[in-house]
Amino acid sequence: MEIALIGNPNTGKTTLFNNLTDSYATVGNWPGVTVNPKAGRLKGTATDLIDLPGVYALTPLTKDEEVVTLYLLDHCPDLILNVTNAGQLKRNLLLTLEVREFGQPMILDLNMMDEAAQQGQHFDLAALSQALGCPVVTTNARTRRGLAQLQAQLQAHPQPLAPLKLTYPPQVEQALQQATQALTNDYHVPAPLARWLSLQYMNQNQVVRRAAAFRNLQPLLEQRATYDAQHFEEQIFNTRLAFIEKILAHGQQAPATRAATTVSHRFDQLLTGPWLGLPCFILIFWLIFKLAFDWVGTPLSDGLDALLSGPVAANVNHWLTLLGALPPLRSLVVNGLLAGVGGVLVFLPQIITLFACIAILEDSGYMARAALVMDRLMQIIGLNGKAFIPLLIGFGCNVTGIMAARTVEQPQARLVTTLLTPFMSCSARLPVYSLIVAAFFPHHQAAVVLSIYFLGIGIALLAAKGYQWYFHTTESAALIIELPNYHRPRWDIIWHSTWDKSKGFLHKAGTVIFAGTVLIWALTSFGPTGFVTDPTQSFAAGLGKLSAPCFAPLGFDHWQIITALFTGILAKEVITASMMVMFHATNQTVLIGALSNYLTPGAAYALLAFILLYAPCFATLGTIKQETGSTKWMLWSLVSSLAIAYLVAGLINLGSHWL
Amino acid sequence: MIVFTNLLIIALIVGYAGWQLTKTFKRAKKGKCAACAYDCVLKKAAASRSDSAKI
Amino acid sequence: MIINALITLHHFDQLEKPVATRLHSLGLTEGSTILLLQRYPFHGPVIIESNHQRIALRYRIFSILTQPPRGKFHGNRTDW
Repeated sequence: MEIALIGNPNTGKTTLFNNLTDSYATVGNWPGVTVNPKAGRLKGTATDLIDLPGVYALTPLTKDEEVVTLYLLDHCPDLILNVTNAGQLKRNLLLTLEVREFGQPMILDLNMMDEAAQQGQHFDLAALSQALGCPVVTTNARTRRGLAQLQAQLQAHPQPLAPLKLTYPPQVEQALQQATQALTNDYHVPAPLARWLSLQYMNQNQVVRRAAAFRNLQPLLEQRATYDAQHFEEQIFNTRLAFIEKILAHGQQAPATRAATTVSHRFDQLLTGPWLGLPCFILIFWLIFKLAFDWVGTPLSDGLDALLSGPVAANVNHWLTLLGALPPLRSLVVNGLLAGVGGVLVFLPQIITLFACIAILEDSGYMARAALVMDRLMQIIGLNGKAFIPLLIGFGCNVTGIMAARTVEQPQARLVTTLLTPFMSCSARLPVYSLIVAAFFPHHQAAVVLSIYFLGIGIALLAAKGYQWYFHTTESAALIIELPNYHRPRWDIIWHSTWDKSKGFLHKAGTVIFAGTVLIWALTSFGPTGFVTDPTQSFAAGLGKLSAPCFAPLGFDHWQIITALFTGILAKEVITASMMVMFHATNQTVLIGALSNYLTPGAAYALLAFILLYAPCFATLGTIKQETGSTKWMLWSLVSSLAIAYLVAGLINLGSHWL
Repeated sequence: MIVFTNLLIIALIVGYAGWQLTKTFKRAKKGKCAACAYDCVLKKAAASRSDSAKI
Repeated sequence: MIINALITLHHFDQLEKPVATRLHSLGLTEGSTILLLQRYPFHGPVIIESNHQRIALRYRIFSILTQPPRGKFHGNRTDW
């Protein structure tokens, strides 16, 4: 059996999903957390639960919203759990009606009952259930109230329900009946589905319209112009709204309190104040880097590094010698794997801190505010503030950032957002930043890293301006975004999200970083003459030295650094691993010492900027190709970011000579 | 014997690394990150959107 | 227009179709009354409240929805 969770954005579907299943999915307090459907097993049963992206209506405006309509048509789930925000039931019911018209068994869940109660709203559940013709339950997913009853309901065999039949204005009804009849007679579509399809077709549902064109459903295609000319979609909307107002008038008492007096609003006056909004945004990120680099992350990872490079490395070496391992194997394990993979793993504390901070931002509801605060700036470059959310998500991982760009409405803005995301400094770049700032800017670590992140944002904004000029877009990307109430972060959610992302990092350590390390070890240990003990005779040195002249204007022309940059395209963490291996560094301190001999602070900053911008990793390139559906854009992303990185790093290096 | 065991272990490590490298290429082609283990049928449905609606 | 003023929305037909659709699905329709909560300098976004939810809008959308009845509107508003 398959149960689908359908509901408006930010109604707590994913929180519910996590509570009802054994699996874990990312939760956030901003519209658009779930851009992909996620499947899980309902606890203690063989039933699949599908978490779908939040939609306001089955008529999709964005790419993630299309998924829901497609899913309904394709999968026809056995039971639909329609999750609504009880505090905003009126507008949530618009979607409910569409789903009820579809006719699959459905349970209506009024979630977030606490918010409704705070607003002084009460519902007559029996009347609601009767009017909509489906069971109604109430829950509060965040505090797990009502979940036991809901679970029992979900496990019971779903009762077949007759599709809801609203009475539309005579014109619409007549057209509906004609179309339904023609579809049932000539195309053998079951009558209830035919009615729903016709209705959605009239309502300008692009997915249904494409499907109808694909299946050549003439009765609908012929009437398209008539439907649109008579504004059927408006009549349909008005009928639905009137129906909702009627059924809510029974049960709901008009609330008297205003949201403006809530705690959320007071928070907002500070965090999104007209003048304080941007400074607050910068301050929040400064605090995050302060935590990651000065207060928590670095001290912990220094400890880990001391442990790994000291006792652990010595012991491993000792035992390997005892067991009769020959120098090449010892070199591979100690100088390759332990130095490289271990050298990246010791940055886990910094990365966990960053992930935890992002998780707190996501869970608290700040993301939507960041979009709002940035909107005026984004307007200048022809995007809207909402496009800023994918960019922020890109701070965790560019791949997920690009996926999140699906929530951007306009196709062109979506493409631009996708192309900008790689300029966002993902967590994989943190280890190498950490090394470089420790070597050159030991007293301003957080500030320097913060400046690199904002350099990324700045370059992205400039690039967006370029795209705007190229595409000749005029200002049209209109911002409309809900500002959800702030939540007090729930620690288990923060922990889950942080652990989930950190697990990803550990997984990478065992796969792509491991592979990259072995590759670079092989390149460093072998040369044209075979196994070499002097790394300057190796393939890695040859590759680095060959391309060194190109990098001379940027201020760094040492073969180790250049070859490390090449390996970074596998995954950005590999840059760190490669440097550890090629500099023959047993621990961070050695590498930091080596680096500070080779570079000037200006060149080091140029290197930071270059690493920030130079090329998306393989996974990101693949995602760009998949999401834009074109190899051309993928290649463009690679070439343009290389050019931009070269230019910016060159300018920084040049500038540092003048200072 | 010792040389053989040594070579075998090196070959195993390098072989695993090579296998992981090819896997990375393959995953990247599909637009997935090495960190994201989640595989989803519905994503494919969304990708081949034009011919998916079953009517 | 002043902060904390109650404003009635009109002229949904002057908006682009997707924008109007999205506003509709957020429960904002012709004749809805909203509360103006906050506005940003340089014609930045506007925060409004309706039915216990806070929504941020581009200034342009807001100004279309709140312009005086047709005929009296002169395009460039300076009273923000």
